[in-house]
Amino acid sequence: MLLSKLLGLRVIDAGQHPVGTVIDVRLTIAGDPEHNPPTPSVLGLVISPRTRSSFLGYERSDADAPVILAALLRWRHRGTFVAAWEDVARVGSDLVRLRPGYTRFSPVLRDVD
Amino acid sequence: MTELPVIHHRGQLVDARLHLLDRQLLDDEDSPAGIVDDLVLSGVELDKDIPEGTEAPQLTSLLSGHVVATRIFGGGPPRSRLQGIPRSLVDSIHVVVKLKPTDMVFDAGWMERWLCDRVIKHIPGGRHAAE
Amino acid sequence: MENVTGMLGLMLIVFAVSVFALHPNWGDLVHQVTAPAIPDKESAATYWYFAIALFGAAMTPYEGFFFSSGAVEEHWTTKDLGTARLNVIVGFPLGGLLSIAIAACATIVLLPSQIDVTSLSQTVMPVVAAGRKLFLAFAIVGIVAATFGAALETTLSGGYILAQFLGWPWGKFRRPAEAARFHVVMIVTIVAGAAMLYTDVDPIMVTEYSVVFSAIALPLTYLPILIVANDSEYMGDHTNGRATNMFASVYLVIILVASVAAIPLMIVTGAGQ
Repeated sequence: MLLSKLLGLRVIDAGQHPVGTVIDVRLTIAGDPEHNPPTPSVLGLVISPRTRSSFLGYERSDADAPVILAALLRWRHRGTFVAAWEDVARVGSDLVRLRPGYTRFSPVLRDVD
Repeated sequence: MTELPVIHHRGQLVDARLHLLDRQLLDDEDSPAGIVDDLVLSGVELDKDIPEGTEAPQLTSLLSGHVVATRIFGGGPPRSRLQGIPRSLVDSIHVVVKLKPTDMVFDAGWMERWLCDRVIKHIPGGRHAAE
Repeated sequence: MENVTGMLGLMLIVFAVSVFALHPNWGDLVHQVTAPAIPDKESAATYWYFAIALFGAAMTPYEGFFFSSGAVEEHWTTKDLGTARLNVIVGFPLGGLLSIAIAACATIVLLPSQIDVTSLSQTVMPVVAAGRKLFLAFAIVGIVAATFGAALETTLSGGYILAQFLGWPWGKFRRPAEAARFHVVMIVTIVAGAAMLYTDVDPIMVTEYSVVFSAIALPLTYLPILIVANDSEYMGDHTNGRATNMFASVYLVIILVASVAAIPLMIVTGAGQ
């Protein structure tokens, strides 16, 4: 399946309530991305409740400069979270449905070895 | 920054749209080979319920081959027109995506070859590099 | 090649020398700068329009592509960061001063006689008036070098922008046969530019319009560069400091205002009439 088909899909929860839009797909690489990385696998979907795409990903990083821009973009994309792939029940051609009781995870990109 | 829990994972995180899509592809000699236009995921199908406990989809290849119109206006050419690059050829993912040495020809397209054969080669100096 | 045109372009300093050689009434000149009096026939809007045009000419978007692509081609490292900074800190103010000198020359010599400048050759009249053939020679060499250099930069920049956006092989060190589309774009650009000279189009008007449009486009290239300058993934340890960011943000606001005001001003003033 093409990854671009996932981007921009509406996301609803088990009770058919809208939750947001898929703005990115988070992958995990069991190794160093800069040196012969092994196969990346999908960790989850990055979902934004308010916006349909993310400009530059300030809401996912620790970067805070330039100050005004970072604050503005972070405010605009507030509420962005990651849904784990285990919590995805169905990927349709026009929406994604999450499982009941899904967890909202932090969108911040922080590496853990 | 937020009080949401951190998802458990092993390894480095890479966000597809933020870190992979639209990045330049360079071959092992640092020549441009294209732009990452799309990614192919295995292990997931559209419009089918995903049973619990299924393994996570994996990235199997990169696609390249968008043209001017699709770059500016969105959408994409048909899948058959895009060149697939197996992810095993990826040497490094950073500011640019670098590929390992390969025999694969990064299709510059008929336009590049046509211009090369019909126009450039006939201009004096067309075959020589500047110093 | 680019260094040679740069050095020769410095000969434009002759305009600055001419300002002094013309023995203007300094008090009068300074007064006009600090307390501008707008003639009844013109409006302040016209002057703001030209201010935006000057702005657009000083910091054109294509320079970002030209310098960054050149840096990749010449394999710059962090050691070259100092040279790049010097280039900007010395070069741009120098360019600004020379622009002021040219304007001052025109004010001193052409304005009292109400001479409207309609071609590049008229801008050197003040230099001639300053009295020496040597000055004129300098001015001619300087102007040729500056325009030649600009033609090189814009042509290369056009090739870079298209090739990089579309993923073509690019680079002036690459054999043309290996980067066919890149080189063809440049050839077409030069030919089209030269061909325009043979039409009836007024080159000054073309220059004015392109400069104003580049002022309009400026925030679109400035913002990404500002963001990249703060991104440690690209810049490592050399991201912007607080002071730089502060100046950069203020400047961003200024160019946004200029960009937004450009089209209304163009309409209101009839493109500076």
